[in-house]
Amino acid sequence: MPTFRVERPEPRIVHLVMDDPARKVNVLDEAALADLEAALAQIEADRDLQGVVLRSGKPGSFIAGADVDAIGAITDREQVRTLVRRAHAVFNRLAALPVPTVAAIDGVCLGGGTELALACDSRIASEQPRTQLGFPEILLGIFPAFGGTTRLPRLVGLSAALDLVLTGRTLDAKRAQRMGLIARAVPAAWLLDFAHQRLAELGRRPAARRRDRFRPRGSAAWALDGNSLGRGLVLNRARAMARARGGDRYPAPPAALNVMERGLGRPLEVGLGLEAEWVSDLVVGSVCKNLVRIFRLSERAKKDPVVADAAIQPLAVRSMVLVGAGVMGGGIAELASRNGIRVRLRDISPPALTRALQTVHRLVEERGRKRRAPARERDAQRGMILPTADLTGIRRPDFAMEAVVEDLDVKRRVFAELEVRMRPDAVLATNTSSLSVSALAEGLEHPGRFCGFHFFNPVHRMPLVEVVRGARTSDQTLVTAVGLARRLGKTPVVVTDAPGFVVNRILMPYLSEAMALLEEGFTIAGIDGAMKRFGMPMGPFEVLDEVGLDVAHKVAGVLGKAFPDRMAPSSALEKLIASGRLGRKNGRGFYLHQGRKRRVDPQVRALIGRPRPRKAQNPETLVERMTLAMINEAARCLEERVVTDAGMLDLAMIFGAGFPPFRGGLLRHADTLGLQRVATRLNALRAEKGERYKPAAGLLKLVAEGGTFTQPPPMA
Amino acid sequence: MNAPPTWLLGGIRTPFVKAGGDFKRLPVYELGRIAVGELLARQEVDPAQIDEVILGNCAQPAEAANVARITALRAGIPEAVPGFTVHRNCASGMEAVADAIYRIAAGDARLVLAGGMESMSQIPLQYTFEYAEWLGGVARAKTPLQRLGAFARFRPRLLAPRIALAEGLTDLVCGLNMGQTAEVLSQEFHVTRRQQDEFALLSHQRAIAARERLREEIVPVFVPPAYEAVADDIGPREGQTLEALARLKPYFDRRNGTVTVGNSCQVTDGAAALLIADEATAQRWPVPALGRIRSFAFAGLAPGRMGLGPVYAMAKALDRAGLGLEEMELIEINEAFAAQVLGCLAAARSPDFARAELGRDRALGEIPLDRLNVNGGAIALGHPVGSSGARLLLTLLMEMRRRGLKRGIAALCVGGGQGAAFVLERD
Repeated sequence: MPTFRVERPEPRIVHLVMDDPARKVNVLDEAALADLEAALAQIEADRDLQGVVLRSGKPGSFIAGADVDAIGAITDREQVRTLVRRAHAVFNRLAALPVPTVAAIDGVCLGGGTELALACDSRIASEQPRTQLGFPEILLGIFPAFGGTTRLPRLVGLSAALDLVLTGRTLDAKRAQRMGLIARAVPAAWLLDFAHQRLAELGRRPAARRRDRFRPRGSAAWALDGNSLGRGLVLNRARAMARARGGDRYPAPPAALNVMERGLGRPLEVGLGLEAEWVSDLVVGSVCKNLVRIFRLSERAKKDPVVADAAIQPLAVRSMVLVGAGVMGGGIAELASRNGIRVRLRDISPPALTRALQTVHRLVEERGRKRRAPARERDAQRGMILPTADLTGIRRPDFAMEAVVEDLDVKRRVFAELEVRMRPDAVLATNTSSLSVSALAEGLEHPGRFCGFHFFNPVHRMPLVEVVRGARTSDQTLVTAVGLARRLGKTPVVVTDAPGFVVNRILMPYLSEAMALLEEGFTIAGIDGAMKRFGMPMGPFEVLDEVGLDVAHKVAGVLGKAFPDRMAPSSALEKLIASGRLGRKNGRGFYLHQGRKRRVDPQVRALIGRPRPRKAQNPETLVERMTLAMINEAARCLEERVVTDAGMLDLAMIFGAGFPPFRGGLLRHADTLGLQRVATRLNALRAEKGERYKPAAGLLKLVAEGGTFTQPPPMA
Repeated sequence: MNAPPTWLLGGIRTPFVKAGGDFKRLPVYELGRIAVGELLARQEVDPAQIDEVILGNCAQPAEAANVARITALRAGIPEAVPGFTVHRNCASGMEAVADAIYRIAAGDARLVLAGGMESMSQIPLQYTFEYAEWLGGVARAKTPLQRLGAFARFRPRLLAPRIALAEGLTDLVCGLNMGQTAEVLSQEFHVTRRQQDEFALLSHQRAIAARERLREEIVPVFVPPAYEAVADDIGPREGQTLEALARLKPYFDRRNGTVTVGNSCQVTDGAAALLIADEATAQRWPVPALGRIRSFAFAGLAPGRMGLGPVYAMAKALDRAGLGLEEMELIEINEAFAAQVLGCLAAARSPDFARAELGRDRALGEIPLDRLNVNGGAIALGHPVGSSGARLLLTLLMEMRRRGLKRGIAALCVGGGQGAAFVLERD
C-alpha cells in the first residue's frame, strides 16, 4: 500500500490522501516522497480536474514531519542534498498543478507536513486543540528545508516566519489564521466541505492569483515586513536574539537566518537552493545528532514501559493529597491542578498554606496572562485546591505526595498518618531529595505502594522528575507514579534508591570540585564563567546561591556520609553559612544579590582563608576538572545501575541540571572526549590531588574493552 | 406532611463575613464551592454517589444562571449529577433541605447535597429599564439623523442606578422594607428599644463565648489574592456594650423608630453545605449522622408582619411532629431583627394570638431565653440570606450533639410574609 493515494469524492475533485499503512502517524520519509511522486503523476495526467485537496487519512493527525531517525542516521552531505532537492522537486510539482490545491489540516502538522501544506495554494485547518502547526526543526538543530524556510516568509511575512522558524513553537488554527499561515480555521466536522468551498473560490480567480500570499496588514506590519529597511531591522533583531539564546553553540538559527536573508526577494528556486546548501552541513553536524538523540531519549522517557510486565497499567489519578505547603508544595499544587487533578493541600501551619496558595495564585496568573486564559479558567484551576490543616479529605484520593521538611522522622510520621487513612490502592510518594526512600518506607504496612517522586525546583519550569524505586516499591506503584509524571507533562526518569539519586549525586562532586578550585585560588567569576561558556545555564556558585547554601550543605552531608572517599563536606561551605550567607534567599551567598542583579561578594575569599587569587586561571583546566568529576560519578551510577542506561542518565542531567543539550549529554560528552583520555586525566589528577579522582571501575572496564558509554553518533 | 426519616449526615459552613469585608471579591459560587468542596472532603464522600445538588441563593448573579450547578461543578461534583437553585427568600437554605427531603421521600434520591449561599457584597447596581430603552434606541438608530435624535433623548436621570440590595429587601406588596416590618412588630407587641438592645447584646455575648464551638462548623477560608485565612465569623463584637447600642440612631424610622443597625442582623456573605440522606444511606455512613429531620413546615402570613413567620411555621411543624414546643430542648429563631424575635416570643406565649392567628385553643408555648439561640444569632453572626436557613440546622444539631440533647427546632422569618421551621432529632 502506498503512503499517498488519490481519491475522487466528486467527479472533478480529487483528494490526495496521506495514510502511511505502516505507522500510526504520517511521516515524510524517502519512501513517502516516492509515493507522492507517483500520486502526483496520476493527478497530472488527469485532464478533467477542478481541484485537489491534500488531507490525511489518519483521523485527528495530519503529518508529524520528516523522519527523525533518518535525520539522526544520515552522515553524508551529498546524500542530504539529494534528498532535499528531491523533496523540493516533488513539492514544486504539487505547487505547479494547473488546478487549485488546498490543504485540509486536522491534527498535528509539523515540519515537513507544514512544508507540504505550504506547497498548496491555500490551507484551512480544524479549530480543534489537537491541530497544531509549526516548524520544530530548530529544536533538532536544523531548519525547515523542504521549502519551508523559503515559502513561509512569502506567505506570512518575514518577522512571523522568523518567529516560527527560530522558536519552533506551534500554533493552533485560530492563531495560524491570525498569522496568515492558513486561510481559515473551521470546525473539524466541516473541514472537507470548507476545503471544497475554498477550491471553488480559488477556481474563480485567474491562475496567477490563486496562491495565498503575504500582504502586510496595517502600517505597522508594512513598516517591518513591507520594505527592505524594516526587513533588515527584523533580521538584525532576530540575529541578536538567536545569539543571546544559544551563543555560537547552535549553528541552526544563524543558518536559517542566512537562508531567509539571502533568499529574500529572489526567485523561489534560489531560496530552495540555499536551503539544500545550508541544511546539509547542519544535518551531518554533531549538534543535530546530539539533539536528535535527546529528542529520542525524551520520547522514550515519555512513552516507553518502565517495567517488564506490559499488562501493568498506571492507575488513574483523579485527586491527590499533598502534604507540606512549602515552596515545592505550592509548585506541585499548581502543576497538578493545571492538569485536572484535585488537590487536598495539607499543612499543619496555616501561614504555610497561605504562602503556598499565594505561590499557586502567582503561577496561575503568570501562565494565564501568557496564554490569555480567561478568569473563568484561572479561578476554576485554583478552585481545585482545597487547603486544610487537619487530616480530612484523605480517604478518597488516589495519590499522596509528601513535600515536608527533609527530616526522616517528620516524613515517617506523615506517612504513618496517611497510610491508615488512605485507600489501600493509593500510591504514597515522597518528594525527598536526599533521604532514602526505602528507609522512609520502613514501618509502613504496605511498603509496596511507596516510591519517591523527586521534582526539581522550580517545579513549573524544570521538566525532570526522578521516580525513585525503593527496595520494596511494587511494579504497579512505579507504573502509576511514572504515569502521573507523564500526565503532569514532566519527563520521568526511573532511578533506584541510592543517595542523591542521579542528578544531585552527580552534581555534588561537581560543586565540591568548584569549592576546591575556589580554595586553590581560582575566582568565583572565573569558575562560573568557564562553566557557562561550556554551556551550563548557571555556574556552580550561582547554582549554590540559588539552591541555598544551607540546603546544599545538608545534601552534601547525606552524600558525604554515603561516599566519604570523594564527597567529604566542604569546611569552606560551613564557614560561609556560619557567616550568615545562605544564598539568594537572604541576598548573600557567593554573590551579593540585589533584586535580579548580583555581584561577587569580595569577602568570600577572605572567609575561606585564601585571600589572594592565583595568577593563572586557565578556563580549560577548570572545565576539565569539574566535568571529569561529574563523568566519574556518572560512571559509578551506571555501574551501580542507579539508572537503567547511559541515555536516561544523560537525559536526567540535561533536564534536571541543565547540562548543555548541544553536547548530547554528560556521557555522550565523555565519549566525545574519549574515555581513554578521561581515564588518563583522572589518574593524573589522582596522583596530584588525591583519591577523589580515582577512576570508576566501570570507566576503566570500558577503557579496557575499548567501549563507549553511549552509542556513538553516525559521523561522516 | 410527616416526612419519613431523613437524615442530616453532616455539614460545614464558611465564616460569615460582613458584606464589603474580606469576602467582597468572592462571587457566591466561590463561597459555595468552598463549603461544598470542604464538606465532600470532610465527609470523604465519593461525589458520584450524590443524586442531586440543591442550593438556595437569593441574589443570583447574572453571570451564573442556576448558580447551584456552577457551584457543584466547580466543587468537583461530577457532571452527571444534576443540580438546581432554589429561592424562598431568607428560607432558601431551608427550602433546599425541604426539597431534598421530598426527593428522598419520593424515592428519587438517596443522598442529596443541600445548602445555601449568599454574597450580599456582590449584589450589583443595575441600570433602569428606561436607560436600557434609551440604549436600545441608540443601537437601533441607523442614519446619522436618527442617531442624533436618539442621543438627544438622553437625560442624566437615566443613569441613576437601581440598588438591587435595597430593592431586594423591600416588599413590593406592602411597600415596607424589612426593617420597617420589624418596626410594625415592635409596636404590635410593645417591644421597647431597650429590650431590643439587650437582646442584641446577648446575641453578641453568646456568639463571642461560642467562638471555639462555632469553629467546629466552620472551614477557614483563604481569600485571594493574599490568602490570609479567615477562620471566624466577623460579626460578633468582643466589647459590645448596651450603651454603645443605645447610642445608635434608628435606621428605618429616624424619628419614632426603635430598630437600629445594632439590633438588626448584619448584611453578610457566607455559605453552608449539608448532606441529606435516606435512612439506609445514613445507616451505612462511616461516621455517625448528625441528626434526623422529624418534620418541617412553611407558613404564610401578611407580608408586613413577616417577622412573625416563625410562630406560624413552628406551630405547623410541631403539629406535624405531634410534639409540643415545651419538648424542644433547644430553639433557633433567626435573628432578622431583635424586635422580630421578641415579637415571636410574645406571640408564642399569647393564648389570644394562638386563637386568633394559629387556630389553636392554647398558646404555642414559652420560649425561654436559655434555650434560644444559645450560640448567638444573626444579629451577631450575620445573615447571608440564602445561607442562613442551612446554617440554623447545622448550628442547632451541632449544639444538640454537644449537649447530648434529643430534640430541637429551628425557625426563621421570611421576607414576603412567610415562616419556615424544622423539627430536628437525635437519638
